[in-house]
Amino acid sequence: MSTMLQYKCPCCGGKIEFDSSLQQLKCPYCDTAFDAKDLKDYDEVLSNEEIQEELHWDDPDSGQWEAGEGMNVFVCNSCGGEIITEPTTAATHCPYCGNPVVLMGRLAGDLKPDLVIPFQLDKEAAKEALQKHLTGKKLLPKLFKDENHLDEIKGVYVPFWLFDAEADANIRYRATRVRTWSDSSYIYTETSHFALLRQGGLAFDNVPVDGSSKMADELMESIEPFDLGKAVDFQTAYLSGYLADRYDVAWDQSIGRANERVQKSTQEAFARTTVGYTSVLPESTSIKLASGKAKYALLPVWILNTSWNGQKYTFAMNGQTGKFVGNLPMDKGAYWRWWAIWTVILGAGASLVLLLLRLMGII
Amino acid sequence: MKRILICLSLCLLLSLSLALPGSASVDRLVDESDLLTDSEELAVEAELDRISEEWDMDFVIVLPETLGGKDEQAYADDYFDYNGYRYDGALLLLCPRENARYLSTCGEAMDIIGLDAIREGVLGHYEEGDYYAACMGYAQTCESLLQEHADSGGFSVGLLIIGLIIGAVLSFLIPMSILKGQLKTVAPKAAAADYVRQGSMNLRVERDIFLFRNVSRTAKPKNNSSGTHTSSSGRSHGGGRL
Repeated sequence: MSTMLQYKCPCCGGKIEFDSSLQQLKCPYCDTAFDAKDLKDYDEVLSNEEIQEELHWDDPDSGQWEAGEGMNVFVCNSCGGEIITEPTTAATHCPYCGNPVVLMGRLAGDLKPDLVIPFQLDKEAAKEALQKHLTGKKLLPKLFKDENHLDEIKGVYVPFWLFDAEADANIRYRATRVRTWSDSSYIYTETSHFALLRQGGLAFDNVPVDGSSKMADELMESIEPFDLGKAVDFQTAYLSGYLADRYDVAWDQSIGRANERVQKSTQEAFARTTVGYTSVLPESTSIKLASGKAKYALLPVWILNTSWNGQKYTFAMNGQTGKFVGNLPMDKGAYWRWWAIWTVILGAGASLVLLLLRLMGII
Repeated sequence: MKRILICLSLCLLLSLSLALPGSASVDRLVDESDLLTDSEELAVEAELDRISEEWDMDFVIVLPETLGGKDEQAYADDYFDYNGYRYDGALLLLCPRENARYLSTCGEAMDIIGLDAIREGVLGHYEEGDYYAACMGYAQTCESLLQEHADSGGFSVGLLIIGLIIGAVLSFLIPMSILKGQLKTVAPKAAAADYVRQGSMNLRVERDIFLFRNVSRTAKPKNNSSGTHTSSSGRSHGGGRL
């Protein structure tokens, strides 16, 4: 069941949005601000009000969107305009009046997130980060910075599954330690072989896995880590002014990815306990994972889409830490120019080293 | 005035003659045993003179009847030290009557004239009794070793090309991969190290069990030069028995 929630200023009735710099809801018209601690109560008040209102469901008679296309239509409570959304959209803007809209039904019941990390950085910070991302890169086409067009910039609360896990590892390594010495006639090499046994546990908290099929997993992992210590209990008011999606990849489909990462980290942590050997290779590895209940969280991400030379480039910024990622095109001419420059520099250095070795009689 | 000029000219001539290398008039082939014919002697001596002047060292062959009670090392070293040869050079001693065959090197030649190479160039002919070929083999081997040393001792186009090839490969591996890496910032996270619970690592079993050991040995590479020793004159010499 879906209902729409629009945050309006109790003082002037203007639309209010979450302000990441103040960490409060703020009315841009009368400058009234609301403390975060009041948001929960405010949510409840608004929810009770909205439940009295008419519910707007998919309009099968609209004729513009076939059922198979999976689009939903809502009517804006402020201006009466139609808002068309994807089935996973949980927060958006009315395309006519620009008012922020939260679709309560997509955040209720099993779909209600446990946690949310509020946006800490605003749109301007994302734009600045993009400019910084484009500077100092020698192989970036010079025209890209000037000509690329910022098509879209949006703050999105992306659904993530957070997994707690306890790994119990039983790993056996084969190790060698090599010692060499010599007398007047021979060089001796002694190789001692060892079996190393390591058993123990390692715990992980809040390993995130992107729960939205729309977001590229690689892109979302690249902006990690998120500081889940600063996550708060979910309140819809945080979503006002941003876009939000509900998950469409269930937790049991996501847990495999979390387990892969936990296993890898466990192997690395135990391998670090095998010190003092010349070589160490794992012979048998058994890692049992006990996972706790997955938590559902909405995490803040700025998505920036640009286009250049007919190609689209997507960038993402962690809305909490500011970590900015996004692949860039390469200027092949610049690549070979820089290769030639470095070849001359390193070639001259290598020639001098060879000359020195020759003069010293080593080669 | 005329007398003064004559005196000055004589002094100049005298100083010039002293400044000339002392080896200019020394014999570089001393064949007391008559192992070579006269024409062979001329040919060998001409070759030794040419090489010696060209490389500014003295290359000498001594073929004595006997060693006069000295051992071959002392005989060869002393002959080279006390007969007016330059400091840099090498002397080949062959005395079939006393089964003496020895190479003595001195100065810069100690690093250039290797015992193994001289063995290869001389010994076969010597054992066959072909002393002329043995002497010419010595001269030619010395010259080729000198040439090889000169080629390898300085900067060359070959060295520059090798350096540039190394530079080209290194620039692919280091600076270019860093510059290219700046453009690719999207990559999956293989591990979850950021989410390890602080202090949760619990190592119940940590055992290192010794299994066995094995020892292998490899022979040290033989040193081509025979090391150095000091002759009766106090000079350092290299070389050795062929």
